[in-house]
Amino acid sequence: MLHETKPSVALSNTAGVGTVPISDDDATLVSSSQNGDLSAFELLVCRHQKRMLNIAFRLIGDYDEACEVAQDAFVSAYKNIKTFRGQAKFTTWLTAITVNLSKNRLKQMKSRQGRVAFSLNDPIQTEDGNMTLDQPSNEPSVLDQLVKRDVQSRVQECIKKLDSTYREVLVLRDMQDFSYEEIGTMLKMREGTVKSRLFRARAMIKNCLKLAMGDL
Amino acid sequence: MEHNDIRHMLSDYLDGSLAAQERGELEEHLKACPVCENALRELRKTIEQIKAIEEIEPPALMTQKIMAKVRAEAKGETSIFHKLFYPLAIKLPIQAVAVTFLAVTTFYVYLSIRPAAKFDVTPLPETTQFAVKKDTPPSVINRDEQNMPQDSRLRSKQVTQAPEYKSLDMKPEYKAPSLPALKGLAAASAPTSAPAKPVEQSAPEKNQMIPGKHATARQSPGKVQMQGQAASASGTPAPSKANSESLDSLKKAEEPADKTEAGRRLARDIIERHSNGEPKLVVTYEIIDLLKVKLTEERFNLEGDRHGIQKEFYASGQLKTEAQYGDGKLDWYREYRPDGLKKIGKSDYDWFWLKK
Repeated sequence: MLHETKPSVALSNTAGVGTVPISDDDATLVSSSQNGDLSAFELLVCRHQKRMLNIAFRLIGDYDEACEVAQDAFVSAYKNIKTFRGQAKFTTWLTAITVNLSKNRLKQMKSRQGRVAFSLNDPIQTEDGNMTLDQPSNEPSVLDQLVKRDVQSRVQECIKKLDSTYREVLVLRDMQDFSYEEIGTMLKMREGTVKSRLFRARAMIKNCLKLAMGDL
Repeated sequence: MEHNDIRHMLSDYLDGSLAAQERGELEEHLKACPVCENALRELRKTIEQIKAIEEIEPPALMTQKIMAKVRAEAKGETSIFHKLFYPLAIKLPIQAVAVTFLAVTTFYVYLSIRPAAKFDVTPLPETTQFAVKKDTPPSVINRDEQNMPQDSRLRSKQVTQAPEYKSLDMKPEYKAPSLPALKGLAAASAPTSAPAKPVEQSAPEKNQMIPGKHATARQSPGKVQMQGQAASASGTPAPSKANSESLDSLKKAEEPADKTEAGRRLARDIIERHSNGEPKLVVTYEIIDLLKVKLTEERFNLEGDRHGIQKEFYASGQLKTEAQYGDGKLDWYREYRPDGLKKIGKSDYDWFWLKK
């Protein structure tokens, strides 16, 4: 029987993202969650949702889909949290769930692609790839922002062009700073394979960026 | 160390995962090789740009959405239904039992309604319980009656059931009672009327009336009857050994009669009289269905002037009858079906009737 108790860690603002200190030990919250403490799990959600969303977004390339995947990842984590034995870090376990769900969603999206009717709201396909929709921004310098965004969008496009097996290693290592060991645990592969794939992924991104921007 | 090897190590070098010796060798090579150094620079720049990509922010209500789903999940887990059916180890057996129960129930329901359908589809066996040994003397039925008084013999003529049937084609192959019984009956029951026409004489006369063409494809019951009578009329007594064998065969033949699935069974045979006092044998068959429910009766006069009564009893329960005159002219033709009466014929002659 699940029982809701008071959160073991004070929840300053559940809606505010990034307000929960990362240094807090996940293990305590996980333990409380395993005992049915929903508030503890809510803290875990607040702590990791941004990271999971970013991982999903980099793997999938679609914001809305990434949001759904991130939500599903947390629900799945809650359903299976009693099976989590703490052999790996909670983040590693949660990321593995997110990566798996992202891969599944990516397959669904690819199979859907041939059936989806053309929409005027769809991103416009250009020679360089899809033109992403503009996001609202508070950046002061428009010119800097434009240059920065241009570089970032090119990098993002290059990442998107990678095969998913290379993309996930690159995202987890260079964007999320997971160690080789953690990545190997998440993706269930040997450390040497992780290194090899990472080397190839970086080389491909480098070549892609050189082609896109002329020089690095 | 080759350039290619160096470039393969650059990625690990930037991650700091190279062993000290390899790192030393690589750094030595880079000092002397501007191409490899440039490759390192480009790779470092690439990684910087990847890392420089800004993170996206989650939507404002993402936590609430996630927790709403989580709470719904938690609530679902504690529901009685979920407790009963969630564990696969419990759910699967329950489902298996339910499916088995449904299958068994469906089977028994099907069995309970099956006979009605079976009536339409079950084929009659080729050799049925109606078959009787050909060598059974017609006088066997009345073997014991010969020792009875005339009155009791008369009563015994009201045979309720006898296996004197033929199979599928249902051509009546009625074995007439023994001549002495018939003869005695005629004498006893019509003493005051005009003298009965001796059967010994009438039988050949009747036989002469039957055209030859009916004796082949459509052998009429009348003809069979007449031949039987003629045989009996000759007065040749059946051997006693043959009689006992015939009795045994008769008993054997009676057994499957109880297992009749569908067809015709002899209900009674009675002696009636013509206006001139001549006895005539009237045989009545019952048409029964699979459940031995009597559907109707067939009554026919074996000494009538109609011949070539052809009957075909089909597996579907359908009965086709037609009657011809001696000259082959079709008198009537009818079809009877298990679901009711249907006639196809020339006239409304009320010889047979069928009403379910």
